[in-house]
Amino acid sequence: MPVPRQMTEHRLEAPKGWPSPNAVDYAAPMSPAVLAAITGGVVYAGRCVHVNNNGQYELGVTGYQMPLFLFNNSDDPDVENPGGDPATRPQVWVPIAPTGNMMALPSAGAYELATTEFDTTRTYNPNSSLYAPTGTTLATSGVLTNVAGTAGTYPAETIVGVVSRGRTPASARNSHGEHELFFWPVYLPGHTH
Amino acid sequence: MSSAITTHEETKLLNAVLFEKLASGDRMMEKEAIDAVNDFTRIKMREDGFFRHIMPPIPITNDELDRQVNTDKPVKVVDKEPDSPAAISIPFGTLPMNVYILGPRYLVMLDRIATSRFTKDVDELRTYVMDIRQILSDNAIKDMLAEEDRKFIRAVDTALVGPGVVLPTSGSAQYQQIAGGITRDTLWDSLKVMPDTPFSLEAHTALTNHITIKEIGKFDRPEQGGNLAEDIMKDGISLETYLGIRWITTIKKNLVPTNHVYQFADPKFIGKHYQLEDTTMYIRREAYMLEFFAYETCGGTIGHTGGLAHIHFV
Repeated sequence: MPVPRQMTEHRLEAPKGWPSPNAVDYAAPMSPAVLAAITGGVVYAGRCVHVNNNGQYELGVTGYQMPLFLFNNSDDPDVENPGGDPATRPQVWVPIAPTGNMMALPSAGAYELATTEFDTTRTYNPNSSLYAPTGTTLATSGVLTNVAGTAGTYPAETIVGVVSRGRTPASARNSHGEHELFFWPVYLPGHTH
Repeated sequence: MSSAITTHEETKLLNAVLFEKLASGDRMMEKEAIDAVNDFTRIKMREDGFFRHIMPPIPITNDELDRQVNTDKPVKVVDKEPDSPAAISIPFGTLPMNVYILGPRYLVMLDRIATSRFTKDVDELRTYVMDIRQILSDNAIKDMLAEEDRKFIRAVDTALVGPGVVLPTSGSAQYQQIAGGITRDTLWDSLKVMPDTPFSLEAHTALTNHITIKEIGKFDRPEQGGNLAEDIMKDGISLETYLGIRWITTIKKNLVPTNHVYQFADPKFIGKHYQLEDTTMYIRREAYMLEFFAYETCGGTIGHTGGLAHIHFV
């Protein structure tokens, strides 16, 4: 039996500016293609995504895509309740709720965020630019880094955030024992490629 | 007091009292006004929407929720009655085969349905002569019931996969196309679909739209039988029971297409629909701007797909 994942392992925190009744939060389902392709079939909370033309999330950001930061894991019980495929399995159950929508905070909002989903081997100074590579690779897609995104660095690639509190690989972990990166989400679209 | 039977004068009086409470600035009086809107909303929610008629909501409390390691979201685990192998005849001197009992379970996840957040200048509300409770709640109710019904039909369609598809759970196709249009014979044939599975459940409720139901009105006296054809011709169709089952007619043709009939077994054979928080209207007054939205926390799961059938008359 796989070890149960703690709800504190992958998460997005909003230390400033959210929740608010006026926040521009967003809800959409994860692209089934992403869930089918990514190892383990789960997209974690705290990852950076964009919305595709079907109104579904895909990992990472490039070009003029608006960055959003996931508040839910794709397998959270308020996102999905898989009971099996009625076409192929007997004794399945079929959930009436939930409907697969995941909440995310877009870079269009004014808040400071903290995520567990970043390259923990890097040193991040305040004001460092953050990128979120696209794709369906569990280790890197939608994971924040200050190295470069899929298309390189700004202005070729989109900056999705700016580090608000510096940290090194040796920095203290959060109260749940996880690495955490604090940043302000921004939208500086890459435009030269 | 139902809005349908209130007079114009009563409505004006009711509005005046409600408005006075909302505008009072007194927390207690505001709460009374909000409670009045909530009572009205909840009654309307119970009256309309087909999901609630097919799977009536069961109130659930915090104590009845099941805790999970990987989430703090509200969840309920429900036991299913286990199937058992058939009994067989055996000769003397031997014992039956062992069966170690395992009971299947299913998960009911509760989530929230909420309306848009509506805003209105309170001075503009003064010009309305219709029931303020209705202004506040009508759109909200319509929106929430549409979402409940949409989610339910989506789940039923997922469970029955597609027309003619044999389901592993029952070994038969529970979504069938029946040729010949809607006739006395095809209606009765449609009632064979659900019982013709190993579970032998009978249809308890049929759901169709307000266009499809009119086909029944076309039955002549020999086809309808007795005076019913005459009664329908005179008075229209107001049947609640027909063919021995309950009929629900909806105007939501986008969910229940014309010439389609969904059938459901008794709710206890389908699954569970829990309501953790009843429909609640949040109302806040900031200076002269009133904002309001309705929300509820509920969830349901179809635990036994054998209690469903879908017929398309072609």
